[in-house]
Amino acid sequence: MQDVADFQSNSVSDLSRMKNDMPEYIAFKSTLLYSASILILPILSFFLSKIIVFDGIFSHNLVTSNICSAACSVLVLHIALGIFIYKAYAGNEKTTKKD
Amino acid sequence: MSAPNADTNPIYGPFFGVMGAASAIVLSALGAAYGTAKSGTGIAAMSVMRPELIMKSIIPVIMAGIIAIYGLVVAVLISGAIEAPDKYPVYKGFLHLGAGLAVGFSGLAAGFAIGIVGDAGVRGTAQQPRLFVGMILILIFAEVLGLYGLIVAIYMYSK
Repeated sequence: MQDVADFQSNSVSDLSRMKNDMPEYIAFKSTLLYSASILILPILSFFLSKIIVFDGIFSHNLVTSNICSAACSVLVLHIALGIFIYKAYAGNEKTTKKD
Repeated sequence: MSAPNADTNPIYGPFFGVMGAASAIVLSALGAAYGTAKSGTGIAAMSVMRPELIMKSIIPVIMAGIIAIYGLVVAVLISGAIEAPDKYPVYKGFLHLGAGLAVGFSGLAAGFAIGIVGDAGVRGTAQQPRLFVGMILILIFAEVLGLYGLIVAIYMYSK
């Protein structure tokens, strides 16, 4: 009987720990996703927009295509940052309400 | 083969461009590293009591990382334009040095500002959640300083 009670209390504490860990895991996953996208997207968009759009389709000269793709990557960077700030602000409102 | 003009195309012309590219990324990375480290200590101190606020308080670290991306963009632009001395007048070298220094020192200043604001703002947000909006606004104003440097650098680069 004692064993069963022990097992039950153990499993309950395990379950509550898992429940406590779940939001942290979700927060970690979304933070990792947004951070990786903020770091990788500007670099990708710089080279992709330079090679495909400004050099390939519009065939600008070197300086113009460089400047256009730099502006493009900075724009993408700030859009990603804005989405992250909005997500952090909106997501945390929800968790504080739950508490 | 026509010899390059020693007055406008000296052998040391590309040196200035290379130093511009290097100073763009080095000084921006210095500012970004200070911002990351300073706001990182604030996050570490705050998270002991309020671990649920980590997602919100990562924002200064990301903004400090963006400063380094500004420097990276200018360094890549300048590196792509550097050529052998006979095709690279020293005037272009001076322009590239100026562009690199503009984005580098602006990034250094913005990184310092983001570090100090991030440290104090993250610690304050743990006590008073309404401070978050103010912290974000101040961080955006600090980050815009780096953006001004980037604009001036790209303008100089396009001359």
